[in-house]
Amino acid sequence: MKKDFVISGVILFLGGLLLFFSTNGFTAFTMEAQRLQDLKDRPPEFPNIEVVDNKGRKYDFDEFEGKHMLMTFIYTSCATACPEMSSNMKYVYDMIDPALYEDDLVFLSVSFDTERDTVEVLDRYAGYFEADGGSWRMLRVPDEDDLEDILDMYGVTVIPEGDADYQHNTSFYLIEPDGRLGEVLDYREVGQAVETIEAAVAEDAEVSAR
Amino acid sequence: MKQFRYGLTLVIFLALPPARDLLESVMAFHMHMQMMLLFVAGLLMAPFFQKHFGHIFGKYNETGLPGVVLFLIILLYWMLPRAMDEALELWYVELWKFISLPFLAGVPLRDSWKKISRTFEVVLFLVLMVIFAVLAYLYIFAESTLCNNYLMIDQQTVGWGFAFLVLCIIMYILLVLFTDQSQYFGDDSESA
Repeated sequence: MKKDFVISGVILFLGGLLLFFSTNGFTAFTMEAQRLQDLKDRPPEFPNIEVVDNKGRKYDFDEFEGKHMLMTFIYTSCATACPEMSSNMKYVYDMIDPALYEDDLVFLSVSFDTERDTVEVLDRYAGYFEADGGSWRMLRVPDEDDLEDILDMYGVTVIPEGDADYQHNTSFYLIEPDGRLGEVLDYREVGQAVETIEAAVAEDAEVSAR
Repeated sequence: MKQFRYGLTLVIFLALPPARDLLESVMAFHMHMQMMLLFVAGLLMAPFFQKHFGHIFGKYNETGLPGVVLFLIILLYWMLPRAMDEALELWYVELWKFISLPFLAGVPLRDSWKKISRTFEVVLFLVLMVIFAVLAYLYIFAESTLCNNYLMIDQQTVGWGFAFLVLCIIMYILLVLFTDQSQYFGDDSESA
């Protein structure tokens, strides 16, 4: 009887170790959480891709190097999460001190539906949210490998659903000026997103002022 | 011995690539069929191990408690959303699934089942009910996908599957509480 308690204890202990190590110390219960942890630890690297914005301008992604980026991944024919996410992004956009957009911050909505989201479509979509194409740009990534690269880099999963829809991560991705993933923010928590963004930009300004 | 052969055949069948592909393509199949069947295969194989390695069970699983604890640990591990994702993406986790569910959950539970009391059985069912109820809630109401490899709708299906299991357990417990089992199974059920 007593022996059985000891054995049960040992099994519990070993089982606890198994659960501890397989969840990275009880911090990552989903693979997604683990991936975000890994992404944050990754050395900085800037996406080396070519993009086209909603004004039809074509440039390399390093255009944004040195700025904080608030990025979302969307497709314009999405009827569920994307419009909500984009209108929340607009709230955030409007709430942030406009001075920051000069050289510290840029908002990017990246479409992963390259086929349907042409420059015209993106520009129309940008119009709905009053994205000016300067401090808030809607981007398409013409090259398929490039698109794969950036999705992979920030850990965005896109799974086709039915014929015309996608299931995808809906978060605000705050990217550091060196291209590293800074924070993944809940798009529903607008106030918190504003705070986090402003804090990140302010912290960097302090560092560079020193 | 017949049971052992059935169990082993079941494990081998489930490990065949077409069967694996099919059962892992839908989340509900993966969790509620493949994993469940692997566990059942373990139950079927238990008598073989009891016969050939009886002294080990006798020595280390005297009261049945260690077996139940082991079963619960393995169960909890496979309820982690990431365990299921990793089984799809890492071959050694997949292998671990085919070993742990039959041999570390099914076999010890069957060995313990005869040894534990009627009350303990009901307690164990209640524990399972709570675990499954939590999972049902988690999977049905989660606002984001918990498994990268599956869609939201798959996830909700799995949640309803858990809700169904909870319902089954509740009905079973009520059945045991309010019927006289000895009328059906003779004296082996009415010991308390």
